Amino acid sequence: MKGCLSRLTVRSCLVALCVLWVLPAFAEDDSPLSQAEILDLFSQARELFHQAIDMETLDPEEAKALYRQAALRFERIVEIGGVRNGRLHYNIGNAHFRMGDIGRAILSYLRAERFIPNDPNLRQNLSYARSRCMDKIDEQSRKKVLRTLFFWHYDFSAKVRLAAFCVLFATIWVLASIRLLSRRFPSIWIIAVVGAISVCLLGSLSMDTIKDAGNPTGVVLSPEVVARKGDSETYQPSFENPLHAGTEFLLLDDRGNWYQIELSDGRSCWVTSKDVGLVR
Amino acid sequence: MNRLGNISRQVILALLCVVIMGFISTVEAGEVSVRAVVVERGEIFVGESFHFEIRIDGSDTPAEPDLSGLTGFAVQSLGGGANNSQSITIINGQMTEHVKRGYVFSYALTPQRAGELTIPSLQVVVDGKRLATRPTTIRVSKPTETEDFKLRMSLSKTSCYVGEPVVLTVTFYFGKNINNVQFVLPILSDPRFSFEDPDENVNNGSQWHRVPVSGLEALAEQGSGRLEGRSFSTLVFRKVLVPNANGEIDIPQATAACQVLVGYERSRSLFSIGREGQYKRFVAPSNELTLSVRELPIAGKPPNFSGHTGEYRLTASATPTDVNVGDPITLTIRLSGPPYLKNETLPPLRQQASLARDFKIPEEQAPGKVEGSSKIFTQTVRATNDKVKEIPPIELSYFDSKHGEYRVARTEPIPLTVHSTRIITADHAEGREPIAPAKRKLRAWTEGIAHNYEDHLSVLENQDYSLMTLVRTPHWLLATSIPFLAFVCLFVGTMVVRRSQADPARRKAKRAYAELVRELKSLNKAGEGRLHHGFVLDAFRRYLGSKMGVSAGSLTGSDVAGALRDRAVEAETIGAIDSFFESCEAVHYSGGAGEEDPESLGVRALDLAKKLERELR
Repeated sequence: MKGCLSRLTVRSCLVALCVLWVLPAFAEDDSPLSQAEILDLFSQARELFHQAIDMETLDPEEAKALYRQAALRFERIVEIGGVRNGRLHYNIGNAHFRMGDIGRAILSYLRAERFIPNDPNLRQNLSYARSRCMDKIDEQSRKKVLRTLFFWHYDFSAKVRLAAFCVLFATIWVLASIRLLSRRFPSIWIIAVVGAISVCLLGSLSMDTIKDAGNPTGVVLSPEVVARKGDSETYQPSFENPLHAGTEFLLLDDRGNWYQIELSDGRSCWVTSKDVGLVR
Repeated sequence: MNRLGNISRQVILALLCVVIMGFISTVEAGEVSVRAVVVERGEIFVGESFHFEIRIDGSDTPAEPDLSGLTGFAVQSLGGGANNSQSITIINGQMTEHVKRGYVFSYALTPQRAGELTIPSLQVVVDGKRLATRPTTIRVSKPTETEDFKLRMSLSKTSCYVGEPVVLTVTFYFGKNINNVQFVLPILSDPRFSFEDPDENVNNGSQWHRVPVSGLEALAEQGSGRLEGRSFSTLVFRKVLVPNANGEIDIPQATAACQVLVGYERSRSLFSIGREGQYKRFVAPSNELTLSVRELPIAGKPPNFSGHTGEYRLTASATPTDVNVGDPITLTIRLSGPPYLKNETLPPLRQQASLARDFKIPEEQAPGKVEGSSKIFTQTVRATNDKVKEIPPIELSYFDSKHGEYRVARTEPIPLTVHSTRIITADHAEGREPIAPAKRKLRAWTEGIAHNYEDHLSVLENQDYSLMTLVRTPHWLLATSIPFLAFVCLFVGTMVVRRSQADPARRKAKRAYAELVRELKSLNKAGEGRLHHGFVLDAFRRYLGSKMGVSAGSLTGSDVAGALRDRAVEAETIGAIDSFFESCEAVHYSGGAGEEDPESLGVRALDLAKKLERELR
């Protein structure tokens, strides 16, 4: 009777594993657009982008209109199709850049950077778009140091960090199991190093989650925005000159129509929410 | 009534105005008059300028006077200016304002001959009226040479060609202490000459003074000299004359005026005590000269002649002389010969055909620098090919005034070694031939943006990964948790094994009941006859032995009663165990005949074991 029980337990576990393995395929497919519709939108956007490139020298205005249509289709894939992909955001950024909309181009590139931070084309385009931004704001040296110290957080995509974390986490326990049995090998230091790396990766992934829930970064979208000392038009401007499209910031406070933002040099000011976009 | 009132008010107002106008008198509107004034009060000498003014009273807006009738004088305008004044006087309470308007034209007149000279009536148009000055007569003396003051002029040559510089030297000999020396050189206003100041060596140890010369200045060297058998102190200055017209040109008499101390007299001033010097003005005339200026001959005039007249010499040097094609070569050309070099130029080197053929010459040419008796011109040139063997002679066409013919001054050719240009690399330096063509580093173009991504598999793949993915996605969760759970299980198992290995008695006690059950079952399965009272008793003894940690060999109920009591087993259970032992032993010693069969004993043993398990837990 006990043998029957154990066999039943093993079978139940196997079934549960299979269910868990297959479940994500159903769980992820919850967007209003079918895969075929998403593919169709992508094809249209790609075609419109090519048409716009061909038109650019002949009729720049018509080319801009085509770029706009391409960008709208790419954005529909993101917003309605629920596709979160760095290259998709990168394409949207390119369309905006060619339209001359530096602010939205940088915003899209920054969104892409969350998924493909080490993509060389993205780095080049983002760097070039930033060079076209009219406001020159020095980055705080503290941020530069952080970027160097915690390079894995800034240079590796979340997917890479997550996969690395899983592999290392599993490795820790495999090594620990081996050591439990052999009592000598592997050294406790090896396990500790692997553990430390996985803790770093876990911290990095946690930071992403905290950042998403906390203070996101953003970009000025309007050609010119007067940054003020408070959340009203009656406050004096914070700077002698207005902020221009493409200026990046960190959101400090959200009061509906007004955002308190911190520029990359550490100075803060208030801008209207309609003039900016957040990297979310 | 009203009307009368208005009239009376107007009368009162008029009277008031009259009173005010009477109190402050009207502006004096005197008549306009013109007069000529010779400001100089002393003796006037030929060639010595004096100050002359035309004064207009009553207007400050006159037209320029007409001086065309002024002959016998050289006229130099010194400008003009308003001469207005205003004053207020109050006498017996009556204030009078005086306003005077006027204008003064100033001139420097230089009489050109001695005797009675008349400044004629000069006409001036003032406020539309034509007014005239009264004629003025002045007496002009001819300067006479005295024993103590002599002035001499000399030319570096008495005959020259047009464009050839001639140095005019003026020497003032004086035998007394003098001050306020002034020179008048009428030649300096002669349009047939252009004039330059020579470069004087002011660091030669002599005393140098700036002296006024015909309204200009010259650097005069103080020294000493002899003239007509007498020693004098001297003041010498020079002017460079460059004739621009031919003919016999008279250089008119120059004058030197100075003040000489002639005695002392008691001071009449309230502010100075003692004697003060008495000065007398002396004017010394110079000799007259004639310069014969000849036209440059047309015959033999070279096409590249650029006006150099005199004697010229050219020398040249170059550094470095061992160069590659295109390397800079500093070419230094030294021009000498003329007494005055400041204005000397060198025709553009690009016009030197032989030089321009093989050398690259900049368009701009640096001005020369006078060093001693030479003028040095420096120019950078670059050889255009490796066949160049020398810097060819640099030529300067000039008119040799001494021999009366056109000549060419030329430099000596400068030998030159020119190598073809090569890119020298480390391989070449080591002698490894042939040299590979120079490569250019391909630099990335930083402008513009990169291409779109169009592969739908990579673009439409969902990349939304975060820590929550572990929770949301079971396979990520399993992949992470299975090794962990496995370790936990392994750890627990290992701990259990290790604990049991560390205390075998306890392990035995723990497994005692299971062993008893297993033994009784196996006996039962073995078949009829195998299950014997003795076997049941032995199995139960082993159970109790394992449980209590003692040898099971000859255990009895009384053996274990004490230990069971110590472990808080109920007396009833202990009694039941004792009874079980008695029953088994009774059957055993009776040869198998008894009240209870072995199966019921087995069941009883199991019940007792269960009870003990509960109570010993």
